[in-house]
Formats: sequence, C-alpha cells, structure tokens
Amino acid sequence: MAPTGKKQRPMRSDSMRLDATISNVLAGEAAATPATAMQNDAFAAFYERSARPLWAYLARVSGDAALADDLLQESYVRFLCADTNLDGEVAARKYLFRIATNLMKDHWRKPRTSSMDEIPEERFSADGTSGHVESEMMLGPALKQMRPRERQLLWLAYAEGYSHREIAQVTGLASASIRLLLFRARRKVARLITEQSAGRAQ
Amino acid sequence: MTVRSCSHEKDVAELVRRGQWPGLASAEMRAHVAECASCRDLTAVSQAFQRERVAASAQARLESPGVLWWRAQLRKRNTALKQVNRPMVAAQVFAVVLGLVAAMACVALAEHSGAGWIKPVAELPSALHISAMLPEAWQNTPAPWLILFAIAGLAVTGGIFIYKASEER
Repeated sequence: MAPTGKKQRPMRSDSMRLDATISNVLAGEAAATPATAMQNDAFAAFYERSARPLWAYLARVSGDAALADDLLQESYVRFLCADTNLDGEVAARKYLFRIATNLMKDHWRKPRTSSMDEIPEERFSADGTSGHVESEMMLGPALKQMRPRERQLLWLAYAEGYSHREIAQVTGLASASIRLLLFRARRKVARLITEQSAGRAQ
Repeated sequence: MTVRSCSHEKDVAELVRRGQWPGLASAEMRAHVAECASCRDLTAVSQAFQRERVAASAQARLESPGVLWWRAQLRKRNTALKQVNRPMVAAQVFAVVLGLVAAMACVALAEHSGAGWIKPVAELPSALHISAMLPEAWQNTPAPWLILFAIAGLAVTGGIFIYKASEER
C-alpha cells in the first residue's frame, strides 16, 4: 500500500474499536480501553525514538522549520490512520519517512511545479526569514546550494544511513538512478564543504 | 558521468556511522582515505551530515504523541462515518430525482387527460414570459413548462448539494 495522501478504507473491527475510543473521548473519560491504551503507549515510544530524526530530515531538506513541524504532525497522523502491518520498527520508520517524503513532494507540487527538480532554488534558500532553519553547522550553507532532490538523497544516505534500495523505497525513484544521482550530489556537496572550510581557515 | 566508487567505501562508511572514524580506524585505512578522493569525499560528507543530524534533532519542537494519537483516531472516525453515510446520501439523491420524475410524469399525464387544474399551470410559462429568457433555438419549444420544471429541479438539487457540502465542512 502506497502511503500517499489518499484516504484509507478502515476495516470493520477498526471502526468498532474506534467507536469505543471516540465514545470515551466524547464522554470525557481519561482512561481508554486496554487495547487502545497499549497501542497508544507503543506509539508514544515509537514517536519518542523517531520524531526527532524525522523532523531533522524534513527541516533540512525543506529548509523550513515551520513546514517541518506541520509535515511531521501530518506524517504521524497518516501513519496511524494507515493501520498497515509493518514488520518491526525499521520498516515502520522507513514507512514514516516515505509518508513524509510524499507529503513534502505534494507540498512542493502545489504552486504549479510538477517535479521536485523543477522547483526554483530561491524557494528553499533560508535567508533569515522567520520560520526558516538557522543552521549554525558547516553543512548549512552547503545544503542551501543543493537542489531539494539532492538534499533528500544525501540526507537519507549519509544522515540516516539508508542503502540505495531503501532510498528507492522511500523516494519512489529507481534504485539504479539513485546511485548516479547520489554520486553527483556527494561530489558537489563535498566540494562545497571543502571550499567552505578553506574559506573559514583563511 | 562515470560512477567511480572505491571498494573500501563500505568499510569507511561503517566506521563513520559507528563514530569510529578516524580514532578507531587502522593506519592502513587512514592512509587509504588520505589518498582516495572517493573515500575522502565519503568521510567528509558522512561526518558533516551526521553532525547536522544531531544538531537538527536538538532543534525539533515536538507535539505531544497523545495529541497526534487522538487526532488520528478522530480522522479515522470521520472517514468511517463518511463511509457509512455514503449510501444514505446516494439514497437521498435518488429519492429527489425519482420525486422530480414522478412530478413531471403526473403533470404530463394531467395535461394529456385534459384535467382542469393543469391549464393555469401550463399557461404559467407564457404568463411569466419564460420564453423571452430562453435562447432563440428554444423559443418554439412545445412545452416551455418543462424548462421551468428543469430549472426548478436544478435549483432544488443544487440547494441540497450545497446544504450537504456545508454540513460536511
């Protein structure tokens, strides 16, 4: 099942469980049903472990902290609504990154652009306006000069440590093209990092 | 562009990922990285991205997981409700359409059988000069009241749809 913005069809048992949950909420009861409470706890633990890396991905790739906040919340809500059976936390995390990537893509598509690569760079350059990520790290200026797609691939590969196959699953790109795109992007960002560190040294 | 990668890249990447580069790397590996442009790029980029990941993660302002959980439950509930209501909405639309057709059939039947009450109704379009509002091609239509009914039907169904849409919102 592709984790896109499309609505999911809930199962009958889910609706029943949901009705019980909602009736609790509407009745103002703090305690949920045991099954709900267990799931809620499991989600809270998963959220605790995965939210910060996901936010970092969204903020650094989009260059917009406020947008990252919004997309993070929407990603988790859709993740919970999807009710997909995932095999372990690694798969769940990958699925979450995939939802977030699709949401980011949808967000960028809105104005008129049809592909991430066609988005003008000015939209992503953090020029001190409120809501933009102020990166004090050496990578910040280099990231600003990269295309969004390059930032995305580099982040997934070198910050998250995903393999080419996993990146393909998250981004929906062909595994073969990721190798080339990543190679180019790495060379470009390495040059920028070297230039920046040389500039700082002078 | 030719993709040239070094056979040591996996080992170097693993060292960086574990935070063991360059401290716990062998002298041979360090010497290799110093000479290999590909591995040099890899270490520089990996280290920079991992530092950035730590820094960015610290900046995150996170919503409570409970809020997200309940929001998801509410969205699921709304989706389920919408699905339950879908056949009811379809039935309502069907009933309205059926009612309109039945009304039109009744009027047509009454006109055909020459019922007295239909005459003023049949003359209503000409009394209201409905034909003046119609396009030229429709000026000589034999039953202008049919157009009147169609307009009334459209107004009613449009109103119902607008009401439904605003109710949903």
